[in-house]
Amino acid sequence: MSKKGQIQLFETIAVLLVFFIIVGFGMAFYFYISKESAIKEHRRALELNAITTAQKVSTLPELDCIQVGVHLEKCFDTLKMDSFAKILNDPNMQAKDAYFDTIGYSKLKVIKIFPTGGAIDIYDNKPADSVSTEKTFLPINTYDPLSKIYGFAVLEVSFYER
Amino acid sequence: MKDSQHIDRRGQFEIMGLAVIVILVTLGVLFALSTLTGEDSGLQQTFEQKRLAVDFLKASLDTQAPDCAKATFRELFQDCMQARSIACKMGAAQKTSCEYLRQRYSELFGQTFEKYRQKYYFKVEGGGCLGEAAKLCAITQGNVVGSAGPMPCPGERETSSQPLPTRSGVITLTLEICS
Repeated sequence: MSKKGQIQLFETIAVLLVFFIIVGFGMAFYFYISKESAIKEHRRALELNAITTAQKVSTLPELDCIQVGVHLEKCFDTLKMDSFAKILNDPNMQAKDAYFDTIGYSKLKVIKIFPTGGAIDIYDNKPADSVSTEKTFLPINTYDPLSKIYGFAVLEVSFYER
Repeated sequence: MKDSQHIDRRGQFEIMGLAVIVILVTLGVLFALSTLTGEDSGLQQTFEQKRLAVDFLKASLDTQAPDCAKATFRELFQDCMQARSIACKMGAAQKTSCEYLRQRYSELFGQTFEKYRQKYYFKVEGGGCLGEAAKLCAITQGNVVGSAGPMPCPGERETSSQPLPTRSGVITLTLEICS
């Protein structure tokens, strides 16, 4: 009789053990999924920041083209671009700090594609503790006031993650 | 009798226990499948791709070609559909507006979508793509390639269209960004 009781007890313990192992696996799996979701959400927030920054920069009056008094969307004047880049990259002028609220920790690069090539680094503010970068690109026009020609370029925005 | 009843009851309890375990495991597997395989493209990605398609078309059509008497790409498309009076220089060679556009758009896509590994399909339609209009439709290109050449995005996509009026009919430019 006592042996039967022992066997039954072991059976019950075995069932409980299996049950708790299954629950344990379920919880581990749930935490893994939660972690992956949190990482995805964080990445999405970074992408959104990069897109928002690109949209803000594409409408800056310091860069935009003006035709007959009208500000053109997503068009950068090449002379304004060169001057703006020089001002922002001059450490004596401290202009970078003034634009931090608008542009933040990011890198703005205009890559000219047609009719001429070349790239201009307009702004680069990388924090010391940056761990990764999120990039987005925005097709824009460039206007050369000297030759009076509209070209095609890409505004590449890299948003630094801390 | 009592022993057989006792054995039956034990058997029933064991079966119930097994059934509970099977149900729990099945629910777990279903949950895992739905979470791991379900792709949520989200509103943000939709907006991003739509914005890209719209901005690319607009910027490219407003681009001017110094080799073609400073005509815009928009004007070159219209010329390709109509008179083909604009002559473009590419290096030492003379090209028609249709050939010029095909080459230039290939370069633009190479420096943008191809470089950023984005699948796309650019379709040019006009005049039913018959006769001379076939040269306009030959500008169509993409990096989703099938046996018959570039093909539309196979799955989800965001699309932007731009109609261009001409005397010979309407040209429709369609850019698809594949998800």
